[in-house]
Amino acid sequence: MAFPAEEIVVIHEEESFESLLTWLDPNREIAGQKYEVIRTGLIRIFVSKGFSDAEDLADTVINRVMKRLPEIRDTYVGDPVRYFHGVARNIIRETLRRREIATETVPSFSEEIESHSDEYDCLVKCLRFLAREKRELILDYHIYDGRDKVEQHRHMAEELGITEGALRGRAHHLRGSLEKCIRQCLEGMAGNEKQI
Amino acid sequence: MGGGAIINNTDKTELKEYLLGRLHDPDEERVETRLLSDPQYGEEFDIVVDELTDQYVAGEIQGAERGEMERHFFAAAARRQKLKVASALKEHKQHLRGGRRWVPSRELKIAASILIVFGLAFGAWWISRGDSDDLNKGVLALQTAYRDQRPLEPRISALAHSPFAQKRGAEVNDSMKDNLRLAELHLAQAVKVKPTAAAHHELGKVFLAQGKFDEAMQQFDESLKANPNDAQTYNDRGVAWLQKGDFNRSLEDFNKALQIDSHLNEALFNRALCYEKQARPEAAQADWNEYLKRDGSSPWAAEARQHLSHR
Repeated sequence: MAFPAEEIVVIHEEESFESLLTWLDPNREIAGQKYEVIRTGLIRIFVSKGFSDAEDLADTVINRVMKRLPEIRDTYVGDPVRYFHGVARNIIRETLRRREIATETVPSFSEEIESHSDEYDCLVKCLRFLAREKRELILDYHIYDGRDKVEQHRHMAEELGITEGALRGRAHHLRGSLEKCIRQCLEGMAGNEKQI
Repeated sequence: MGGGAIINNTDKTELKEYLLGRLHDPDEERVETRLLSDPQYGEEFDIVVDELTDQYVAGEIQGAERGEMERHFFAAAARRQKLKVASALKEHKQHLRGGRRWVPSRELKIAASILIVFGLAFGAWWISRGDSDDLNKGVLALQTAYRDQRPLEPRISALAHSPFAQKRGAEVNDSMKDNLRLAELHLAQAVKVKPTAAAHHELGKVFLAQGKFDEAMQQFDESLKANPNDAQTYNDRGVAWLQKGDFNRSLEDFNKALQIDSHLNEALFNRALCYEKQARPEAAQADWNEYLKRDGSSPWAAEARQHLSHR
């Protein structure tokens, strides 16, 4: 019985993905972790190069490596990461050649805030989902700028009995959750406006 | 897959340079291959992104560097998205401080620089009393918290009048809670650095406003150990007892406060409230009348009149 064309593609993709993982590491679990780090790293690189479709580009790199793998796996010498990097560099060059000029500008920030912005309203809503100590940590962490900020972080780390580095990490994770929540909240607001 | 090599300050600086598009090819390649293999480095990268975004939003990055950042760092939509969170946090900060930022002119900045030079000597002295700075900031945050409404009916010493918010818990406004928290942070630091009677007293007042009556009382007790003749501290401890429902101890403290300073209007006002709670209407009426003799026109007097008229 012949497989429909779409299924053959899926089977081939699965096989290629399996070979890719094996190439990264013979241990399946470690290979999975390496794959995740590579994909996230690619997204970070593409965003840093100014691409708004960073996730798609990261997947393009991975697909290209998967396609070439049968030809290179026996001859390629060195860390696979370097190969991914090389492909990413090529894609950056190719994409830059046909890239549209960005027209969107960075939103301006007034020094004086006249009224509550949607972002602020969403922040207040999202903070309510955090436990009290987490809410206090993220707000206390961001309460000052400049030198006062450095001093404040030192006090906070001391009070919590952790290093300043660990405090930075905690604040970063909390900010990540807030960021996600604020994004969803703003999307919700935009959706409601459309309905109205 | 290990946790990656330790991230040092050179790595952090290099990440910042990479993010601002200032690295040459070989260095850029080193950063990028490490991003593809070291998860800890990747996390550090994200933190530096957040920090740069905050610095941009705070106006700490100016001039050509700011323009460079807008062209390079914020070119991708994902980065511009991050601005939303950073600006919301900045807005929160501004609401919390209750103030508006003032942008000085160039001339004023120069004048300020000159003053800074003269201020260095003063600064050396000031550093030696950093606790006072925290004490002042804490007191200011407490006053700001009380600006629009007060969470307790009795009078906490040396705070201006604001209407009593009869709502409780989550309904008390967020700005007040945040300012009280800010006051707590500063005053806890002041107590830690230099546990003076004043620092303990002010921290106790913050706890009182937060409804943490036991913690408040601990601070007032510490303050009274160092300064046993402070009428205001007795008044405030009396408020804590009153809120806890121990009217006898509350009355003792208000009496003690008035014994030390018979002109302390806060204590007289609070004693009248205490008598009301004790169902002693005549004693309450006498205190309200006495209060109105001393203060006939303030918003506190208006409240005293209301109490008299509700009898």
